[in-house]
Amino acid sequence: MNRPVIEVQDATKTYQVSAGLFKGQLPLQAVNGVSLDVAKGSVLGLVGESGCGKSTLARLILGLEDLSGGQIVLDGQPLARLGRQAISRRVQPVFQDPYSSLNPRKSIGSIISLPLRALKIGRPADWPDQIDEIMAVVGLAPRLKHNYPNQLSGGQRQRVAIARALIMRPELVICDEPTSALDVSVQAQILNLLMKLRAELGLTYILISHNLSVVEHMATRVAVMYLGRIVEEAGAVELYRRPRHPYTQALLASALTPEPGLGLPETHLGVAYPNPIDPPPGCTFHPRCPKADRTCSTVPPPPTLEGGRLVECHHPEPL
Amino acid sequence: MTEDRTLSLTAGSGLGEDVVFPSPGQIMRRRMARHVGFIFGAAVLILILIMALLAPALAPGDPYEQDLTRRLIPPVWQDKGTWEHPLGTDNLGRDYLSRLIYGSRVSLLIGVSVMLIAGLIGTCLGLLAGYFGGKVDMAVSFLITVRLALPAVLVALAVVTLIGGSMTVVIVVLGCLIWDRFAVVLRASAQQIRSMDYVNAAKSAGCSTRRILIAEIMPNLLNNLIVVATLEVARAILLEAALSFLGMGVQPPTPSWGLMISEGKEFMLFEPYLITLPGAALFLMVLAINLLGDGIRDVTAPEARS
Amino acid sequence: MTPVLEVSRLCVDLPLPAGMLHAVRDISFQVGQGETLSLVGESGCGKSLTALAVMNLLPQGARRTAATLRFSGLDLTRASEAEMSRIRGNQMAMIFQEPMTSLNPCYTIGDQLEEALREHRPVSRQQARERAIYLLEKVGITAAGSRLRQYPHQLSGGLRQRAMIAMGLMCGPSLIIADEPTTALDVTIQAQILSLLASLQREFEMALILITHDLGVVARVANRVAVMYCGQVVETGTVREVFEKPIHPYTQGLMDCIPVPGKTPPGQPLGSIPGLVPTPIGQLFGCSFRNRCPRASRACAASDPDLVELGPGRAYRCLLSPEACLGPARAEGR
Repeated sequence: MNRPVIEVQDATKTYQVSAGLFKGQLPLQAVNGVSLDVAKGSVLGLVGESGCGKSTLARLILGLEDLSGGQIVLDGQPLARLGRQAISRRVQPVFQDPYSSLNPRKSIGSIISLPLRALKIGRPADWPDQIDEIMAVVGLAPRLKHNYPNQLSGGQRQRVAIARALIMRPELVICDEPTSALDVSVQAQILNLLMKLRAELGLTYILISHNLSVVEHMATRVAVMYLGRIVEEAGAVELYRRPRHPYTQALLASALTPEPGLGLPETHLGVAYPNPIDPPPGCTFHPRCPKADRTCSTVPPPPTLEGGRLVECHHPEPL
Repeated sequence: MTEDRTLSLTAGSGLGEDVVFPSPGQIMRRRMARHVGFIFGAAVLILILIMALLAPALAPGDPYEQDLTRRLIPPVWQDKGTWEHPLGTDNLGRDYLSRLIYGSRVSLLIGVSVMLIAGLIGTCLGLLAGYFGGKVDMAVSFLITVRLALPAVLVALAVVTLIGGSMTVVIVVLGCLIWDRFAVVLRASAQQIRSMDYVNAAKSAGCSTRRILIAEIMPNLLNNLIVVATLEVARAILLEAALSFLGMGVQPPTPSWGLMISEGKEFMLFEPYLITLPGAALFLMVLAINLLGDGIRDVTAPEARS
Repeated sequence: MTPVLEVSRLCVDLPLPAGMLHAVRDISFQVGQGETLSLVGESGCGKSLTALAVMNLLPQGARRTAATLRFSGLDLTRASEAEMSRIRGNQMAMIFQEPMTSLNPCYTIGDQLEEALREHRPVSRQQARERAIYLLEKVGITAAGSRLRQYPHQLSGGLRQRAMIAMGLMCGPSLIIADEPTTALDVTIQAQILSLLASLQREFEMALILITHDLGVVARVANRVAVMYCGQVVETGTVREVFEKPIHPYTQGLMDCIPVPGKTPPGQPLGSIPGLVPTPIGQLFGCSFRNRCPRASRACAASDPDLVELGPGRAYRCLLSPEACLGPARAEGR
C-alpha cells in the first residue's frame, strides 16, 4: 500500500506578536489549517510569496516548531509522539542561505558528519568513508573535508548542506529555497544534482520556492499558499497549463521568463499583500482579486476537490 | 585528452585559480603577526607571567623579611640608593623589588581566579538567556539589572567588613559580583547565533539541546568570550587593588600592589617611589591586558564573506 | 543623437592582500535617451562596481580608469567630487536593491524626498512637498500626503521601493541606474515595479541602466543588453538579438540554465555551466571563460580575445567565428 511519506492534517501555527507599546499581544496565524499528503518519490512544490507561511510550514514538518493545532503524521505516527531523533532520521532540511547554514567554526567533514555523530549511527570507524562517499555523490572533492566554509563558494556550500542532509539517507528532504541565493549557472548545477539524487536514492522532496519556473521544472505536484492556507493544489503539469485560482493565475503571469517581446504582464492585483495579523474577512484574497464580489468579502471559500485538484475559491476557473 | 586540455587551459592560470582562500585559523595567525597592540600586550603579559612564576628565583630578597635598620632606602637611581635594594625598601625595611615581584603573583592570581568564577557564572547565564529566550531571558535580565544597580565596590566592602578580608574572600566576592559583562555580551551573541540556519540544521540532524549549546553555539561565542575575559582580568585586578588600598582586601603582610600603595601613602611626599612604583606596575599590567584584549577582538573579527 | 552616457574602456582595480583584483576590465557601453540598457551577469562579474564607478562611489582604495566617461557631454573622469555631488541625485539617480538600507530609518519619507530636491534646487519646503506628493502619486502610492509623514519601516517592501523610485525622480534626472531594483521583492510586486519604471521612463524620456542577474527581467524590460562575465563584456546587442541567437558560449550556457515553463522538458537535467567563476586577481591572460567553455581550445589560453563587432551595437568576445559559436558544441570527453 502506498502510504504517503508525510500527511499534514489541518496544521495550524499561531504566534503571539506584540501589537505595540502597551497594546498587549495579537495572534498571527502563520499557518492556518493546511492539509497535504506527499506521496513517496514525488516532489511537492510549495509556492507563495513572503508571508504566506511556507517556511513556517517547513519548520513544522521538520519538527523545529510545535503545532498550535492539527497533526502531522510521519510514517504513520504523529510528529509529537516521535522523538527528535526519530524525526531526524526521516526528514532533513536544505536551507536557503549557504552562508548561514554552515557553522563557520567547523570543518566541512565535521559539518557533514554531524547527523551521524548526533544520532550515533553506525560505527565511528566507518564514518570517514561515509563522508567521502556522500561527498563524491554530491560532487565535492574529498580533500575539501578539512577546509572551512569560508573557503568554499556558494554552490559548494550548498552541496555540503545537501551532503549533510543525505548522509543518513532520510526519506523526505525539505528544500527551503535551495537555490535562491545562488547564481543562475550554479543554480542549474544544484537543481540537476537534486534531481539526480532523487532518482538514485529514491528520495521525496518538498520544494519550497518563489521561483515558479524552477518549481514547474522539478515538481510533480504543486501547492500554492496564500496567507497561511493552501488555495490551490494540483499536479504540476495541470496547474501550469490551467490554473484555476485567480492568485495562481496572477502568480504564473508574474513569472518573467526570458522570452523577449512578451513585455510585462498586467496582473490586476492592485493593493499590496495584506498584513497577516489583520487578514481580510471572507476570502483573504478578495481585496486583490479581479473577480471578487460580495460573497468573497464575507464568506471564506470552502475547499473543493475535483479531478484530483484542490481549489479554494468562489469563482474558480472551470475545469 | 581531457587531462591535456585541463593543463593547457588552467595551468599557470592567468585565471586567478592559484588564489587559495586561507582557513579561519590561518587568517587569525596572520592578523596576529601584524597587530602591534596584540604583540605588545602579549609580550608584556608573558614577561609578567614569567616574573610571577619565577618569583623565588628572580627576587633578590624575601618580601616578608623586615629590617628596621634599613627602612625607606630610596631606589638605586637616587643618591643614597644601593644595588642591594635596587628599588629601595619600604617603611618596614622590606625589599621593594621583591615585594613588587611577589605582588605580581597576587594580582595575577586574583585577576585570573575572579575572571574564571565570574566567567563561569556570566557565561552560563548569558548563554541560557540568549538561547532559550522567553521566561529564562526575563529572569536572567532581571538578575543582570539588579546586579548592575549595585555598586560593586560598595557591596564588596560591605561583605568584607562582615566576614573579614583575605585573598579567598576577595576572590569569591569579586567573582560573584563582576559576571555582568559576560552575561550581557554572551546573551546578545547567543541570541544572534540561535537564529542562524546551522543551528536549525543541527536540531534537524538530531542534536540534543546540550550538544547544540556546547558544540554549535559555544565555538562561535569564543571570540567574544575571550575578549571579555581578558578585559575582566584587568577589571578584577584594579578592583582588588582598590579594595586592598581601602584595607578591605588582601591583608598585610601579603605583598599586593594595592596594599603597597596604601602602606606607602603616608610617606608620599618624601618617598614618592613607594606609591609610584606599584602604581606604575599596575598601570603597565592593566595597559597590557587591555591592549591584548583589543588585539584579540581585532584579530578574531568575523570573516567577511569571500 | 548624443548618448546620455558614454563609457569606453572603463577599468576598476581593487588592491587586495592576495593581489590586484581587476574587477572591471575594459568595459564599453552607451545609453541613449529613452533607452533601457541592461547589464546582466552573475555575482562577481563587476556589474555593480561598474555603476559605482560611473557615479564615482567606489570603495576606498579602488582605482578607476576610463578612456571615455561622458555624461550628457560632461567629462566625468575630470569631474571633481563637488561636481559629482551636484550630478548625483540630480541628473543621475541611482536606485538600489534593498530599500530598507538605502532609506534612512530615522527620517520620514517626506523628509528624504524633500531633501533630495532641496539639495540641488533652490526651492521652498512647500514646493518640495508638492513635488514629492506629485511623484508619490505617479509611482502609485495612494494617500501620498499621509505617506509623507511615515517612516520607512511603516511601509511594505514594494511601497518602499516605489518611494525610492520617487526619490530618484525628484530632480528630473536624465539617467537612472537601477541596481537589482526588484530582486528583494515578491514576484507579483516585481512585475508592477518594472511596469512602473518602464512607464515613467517613457513619460520623462529618461535613459535607464538596469543592472540585474535575472535574465527574465532583462528580456521583458530592456531594449539592449550587455552580458558581463568576470569583469568584461562578453556579448552585446538588442535583447531580441542576444536572446534569440546568443553567440558567446557563456550567454548560450546561461540561456540553457534557465527552465522556461512550456519549453524546457520537465524532469530533464537543465543545461549547466560546469566549474566556478575565476577570480581575476593578478596577472591575467587568455580568455577568462576558457575553463568552463565547451568550445575552448589551446588558442584560448594564448590571448585575450577582443570584442568583435558584428554590426551597430552587436558584438561578442570570442576567438571563434559566429558560425563556429552557433554550431554544435564539440562532443564530450574531448
